[in-house]
Amino acid sequence: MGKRWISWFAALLIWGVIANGAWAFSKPTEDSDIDPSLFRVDEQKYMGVKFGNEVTLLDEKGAPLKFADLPNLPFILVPAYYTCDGACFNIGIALKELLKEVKALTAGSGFNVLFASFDKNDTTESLGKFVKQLDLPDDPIRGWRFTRFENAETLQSEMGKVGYKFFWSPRDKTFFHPTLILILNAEGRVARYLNVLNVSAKDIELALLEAKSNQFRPSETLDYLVSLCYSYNFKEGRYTLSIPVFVGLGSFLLGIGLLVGSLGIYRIYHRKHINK
Amino acid sequence: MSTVSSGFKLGEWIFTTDHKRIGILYLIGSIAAFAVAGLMALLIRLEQATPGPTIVSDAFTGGDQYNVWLYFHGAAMILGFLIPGLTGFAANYLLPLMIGAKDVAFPRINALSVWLFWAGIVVALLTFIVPDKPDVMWTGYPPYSVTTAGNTALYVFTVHLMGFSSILAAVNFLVTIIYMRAPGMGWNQLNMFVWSCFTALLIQLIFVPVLASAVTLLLFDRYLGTHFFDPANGGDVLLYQNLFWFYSHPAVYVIFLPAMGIFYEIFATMAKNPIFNYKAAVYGGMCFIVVISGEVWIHHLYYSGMPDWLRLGQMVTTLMISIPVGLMTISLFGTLYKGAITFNTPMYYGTAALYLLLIGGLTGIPLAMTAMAVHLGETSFTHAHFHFIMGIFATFAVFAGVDFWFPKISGRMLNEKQGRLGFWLNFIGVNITFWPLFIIGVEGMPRRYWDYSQFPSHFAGYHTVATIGAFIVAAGMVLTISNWIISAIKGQKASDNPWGSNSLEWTHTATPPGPGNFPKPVTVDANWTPYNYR
Repeated sequence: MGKRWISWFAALLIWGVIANGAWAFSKPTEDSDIDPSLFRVDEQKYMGVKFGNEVTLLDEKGAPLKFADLPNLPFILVPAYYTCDGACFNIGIALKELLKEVKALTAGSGFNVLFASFDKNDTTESLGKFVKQLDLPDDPIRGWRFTRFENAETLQSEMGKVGYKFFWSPRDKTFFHPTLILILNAEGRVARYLNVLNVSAKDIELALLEAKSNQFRPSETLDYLVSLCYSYNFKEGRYTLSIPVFVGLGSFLLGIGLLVGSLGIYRIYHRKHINK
Repeated sequence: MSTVSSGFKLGEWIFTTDHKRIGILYLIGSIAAFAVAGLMALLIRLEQATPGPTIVSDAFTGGDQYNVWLYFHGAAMILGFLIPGLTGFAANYLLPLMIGAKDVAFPRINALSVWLFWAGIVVALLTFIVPDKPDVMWTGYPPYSVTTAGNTALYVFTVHLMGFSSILAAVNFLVTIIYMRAPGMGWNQLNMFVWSCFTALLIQLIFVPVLASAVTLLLFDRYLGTHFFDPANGGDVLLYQNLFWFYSHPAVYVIFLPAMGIFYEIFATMAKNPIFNYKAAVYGGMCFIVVISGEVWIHHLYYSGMPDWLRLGQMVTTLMISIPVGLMTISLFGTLYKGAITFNTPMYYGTAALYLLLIGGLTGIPLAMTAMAVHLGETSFTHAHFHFIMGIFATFAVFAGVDFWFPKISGRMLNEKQGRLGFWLNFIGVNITFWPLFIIGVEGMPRRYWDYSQFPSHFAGYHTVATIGAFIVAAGMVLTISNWIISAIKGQKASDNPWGSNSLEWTHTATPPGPGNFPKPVTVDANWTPYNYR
């Protein structure tokens, strides 16, 4: 009797485990709070839009900073917030590592990086803590600026102008936001959107060169010419080699080759003819 | 035995490798293309004579029909008439004669070249047979050419055939000029027409392969699902425009230079003057155009987005084109200075060409300047400009050239009265057609629109006048071409050198020249020039 009871209990337990597992697997996953597609930016719609005309930022020391006060260089705009315990820090670290590999341009002289916090609760202290955590190499940090929006009301609309969306989740007590960085030209117009966690240093370099195409220096000519061999792939969100450029170049050389070749052939033919 | 008097045998013409016969085959093919493209021009002008549907079936499909006419007019005029008419017909017939050569360097390749050209004409004419007619202009810009229901393949194959034909012709003539000049003939003793062909064909050979590769990639995008020019999938739509104009702007000089060369020959002969500033016109004019021609194409993309420095640079290089063109124009005028000018039909066309050069050149200046080009670039002002400087100028050159060398080619003289009447109709008609388009272009009349009812109503009057002008031109063209046919059959017999020219094709050959061109090998001394009239 005792053994039978144990067998029944074991069988019930096993069935229970299986049924529970089956139920767990069959149960549809609850929808995420935020649909990721909400964050997608229709890039072609926002390219060339001027950012930050109306905005006053507060710099690392809390002093007002206008976009017009920034050096006349293209810049990487990094929307983030400094108390973020997830993506923002990773964005900063990823950008720091990628920019080490960017050879054509140097932060500070060729471009600037501008962090702009969209959290109205960010303070000079939270900003300082964030910067310290990033552990950037130089002191003072060349070309990197960390700012907050002075006016929280203009913040959402200004970011919305360039298609960047973010949401505060009271339940999670966090902002939901994409891991996008914006490459802006010196005028503040959007030249490219890049997902910093999904691009290479070459992509950032090419985007910066593209943003700088109006004002590159003679020493950057070669880099600019190389950048013309790439085109941005909207589908993949990165730069790819532009095959038609090479086909065009090859066919251009073919024309010259044909001339040289035919002159050579005629010379050989003519000599043979004379010898005969 | 002459080229045309040995009796007509079809087989001899099909399998001919004689450069003169090949030249005539080019002329017939290019005039055929010209005639059909001219009919398209009349349809275009008729449609624009009034706002709204005029001759198209209805407002819904009118644009499609109109686009087919535009496509054929542009593609056939440029690829089928102007380029082959000048570098095919004129270069083939005249170039070996002018340098004292008995034929071209590669006669069989020359024959292949003309039959590829004819194949291109046939493929282009299929436009009127296939149900899905091509409608991509002569530019074939994506994304429209990739997404249209029209037959983009016909456009691409036409470009391939004509392009391959012109590459072979260019190889042939460049080698011929470099290696087959008569003993003693230095570079500074060449006819201006030879120089003009040399420089034009150099441009042709270097740049045509780029166009061929661009349209091939377009074909792949259209039919094989590649995305070379699709920005949504990593392609670059502007790159096509860059590749296209990288050839197609220099193509303007492929047309312009031989046209100038023809007028030089006519002016020197009819004025009995040496070429004024020969070296400046050759080296500072023609050769400088070769150097600069590949650096100005971006002015066709002023409105497509580009860095400011590039826009500025392109504006400067485009304006710089006026330096070599100016040198050549001064040289043309100088050649007439104090000359004993004989005014016959070729000279009428030559004089008119000076006027076309002036108006076409001056109206090109605002289009080279970015600020003006943004306003005028896509209007009928541009349309009128390039018809003056390229279309009509070069067409007049072909007509003048045929008229001038007609005695040499056919052995008979043209009917001068009919020639002059044809000229006046052409000249008056051209001005009536294109001046109104300049005016309404400045006021904002867009190019390529079949219906302009949403624009100011007074545009209609100008369009009606332009349409009347087009029909006057058509009458002039019919008179001119019929004059060639009738005079070739029953014109007055021509002497060997009716114009008293010093050029080898007149002084050393029979009229018309026989196989081998010259009765005995030609040699020239250091003092010889084709322009030794003093």
